[in-house]
Amino acid sequence: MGVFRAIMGGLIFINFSMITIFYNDWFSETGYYPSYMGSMTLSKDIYLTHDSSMHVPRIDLLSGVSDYRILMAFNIFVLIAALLTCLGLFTRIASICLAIGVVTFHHRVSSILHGGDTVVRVSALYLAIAPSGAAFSLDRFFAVRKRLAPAQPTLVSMWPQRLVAFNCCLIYFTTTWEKWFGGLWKTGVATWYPARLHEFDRFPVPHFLNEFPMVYVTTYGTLAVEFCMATLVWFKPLRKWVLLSGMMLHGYIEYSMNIPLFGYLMVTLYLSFYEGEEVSAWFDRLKAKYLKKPIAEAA
Amino acid sequence: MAKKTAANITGSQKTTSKATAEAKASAVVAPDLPRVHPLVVAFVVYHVIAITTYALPKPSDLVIDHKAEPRGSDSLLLLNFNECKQWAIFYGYLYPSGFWQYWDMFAPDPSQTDIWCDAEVTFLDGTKTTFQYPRMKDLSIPEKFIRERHRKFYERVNSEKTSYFWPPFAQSIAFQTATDPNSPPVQVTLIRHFQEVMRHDKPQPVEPPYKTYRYFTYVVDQHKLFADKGWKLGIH
Repeated sequence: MGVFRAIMGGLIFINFSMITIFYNDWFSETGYYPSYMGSMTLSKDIYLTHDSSMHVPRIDLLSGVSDYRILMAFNIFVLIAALLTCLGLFTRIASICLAIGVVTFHHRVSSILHGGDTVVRVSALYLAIAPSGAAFSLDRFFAVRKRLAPAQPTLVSMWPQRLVAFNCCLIYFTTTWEKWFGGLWKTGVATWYPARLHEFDRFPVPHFLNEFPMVYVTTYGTLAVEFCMATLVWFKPLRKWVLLSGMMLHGYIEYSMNIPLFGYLMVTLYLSFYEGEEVSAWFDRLKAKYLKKPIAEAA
Repeated sequence: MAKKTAANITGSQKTTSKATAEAKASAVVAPDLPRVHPLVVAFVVYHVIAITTYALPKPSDLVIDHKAEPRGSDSLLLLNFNECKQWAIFYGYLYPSGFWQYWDMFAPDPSQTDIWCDAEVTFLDGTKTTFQYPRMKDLSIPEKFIRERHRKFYERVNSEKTSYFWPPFAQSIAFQTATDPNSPPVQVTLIRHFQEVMRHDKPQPVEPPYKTYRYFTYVVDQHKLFADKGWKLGIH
């Protein structure tokens, strides 16, 4: 969870930095998305009863705020929270602030959100409810140095990490199911179309990859990989191969299509399938390999 | 549940071999693992059910509208759509908290229409100019990366269903093109350019032409424009 926190915090920082560059477009009253449009796309209150007698508000600290300076200050606050979460400094409070900040922004400008943003929001919420600063963090580093934390690893419950893993599977499971309703996926021709949408163009790919019979391979291959990511990934002997196939899928999409950060965010979720001791052992093997220490000496 | 799945290890360990790491791993599956409070277990179960019921796809529109009999998984999805998704105990938690989510990447079918936009802006003195909304195809790779939200936004707001976005969109274009208080923009016409991807089994043109549709004409709100620009109305 510590490594997941560090990478996801960094990606959320990049994500919000990209929003900040065009802040005027999305958050000012002279932009494309003035504040009153927020309440037209998402209702501010959720009614729990048919007669509207009970309702709960959405998390939105900026509800009704249209002052550009306040909005920019809040954005900087979220960026700082993302950076602190990434570093694991004041992690508990930083991750809670980050989650509230992300949810606030998403509830305000829901029409500019893409799948990657939903991964960001859900991940930020999981980081806030998990003991995500307990490992791989500056908090722990300073605590050990001041002898406030034991040098030996502390054990923490796995339920937040399992929730992240479950949510990752849910993404693949529901999208595969949804695709099964579409005629183009069933007939194996679906990838013919996105490859010809010029608004998604990124780097060039060899021509034959977007022609038949490769279209059949990429269409059914996508369905197979996504289905495996939702199911077989829990079967440990196959886990590595399933995750590798998922990385290849997202790697190809990231290279060929302009869908910023989505692939990186999804692959970061894959970390949740590995337990802390597996990640530690992997780091240790890497250290031993590249520091070229004899195993016996290092041990 | 948490006991069964063991635990994370915090801090760096000085083990280097796989065998040593595995030995340590087995050593930390100790009996003094933190106990998970029953309320936490209840929350986890509730959360899993809530996000699953919300994220499950809708049945086809024909089934929802009772124009077709549900077949196969449609029955389950219809039950979920009509019952579980309407339970306040779930949506009353997911919507306010931000855990709402649905996943329809390129589903049920990928988009088959390439779409972009520009606008014709008419000024008070009768001159016209074309405002180019960011078009991904014409941008450099780094610009595409950071401007993808503009494409997504336009994809969402160009349809009739979201026509309530058109006036503020056009007003913003007027604001961005206004430079002279003596000849402010008075009218903005939004223009959609689109191209259907040809079916794979049809003859493919080298570059099919884009169709153009002038879909909304907006008379600029001069009071708002002048206020936003910091200009004074009527003294220029």
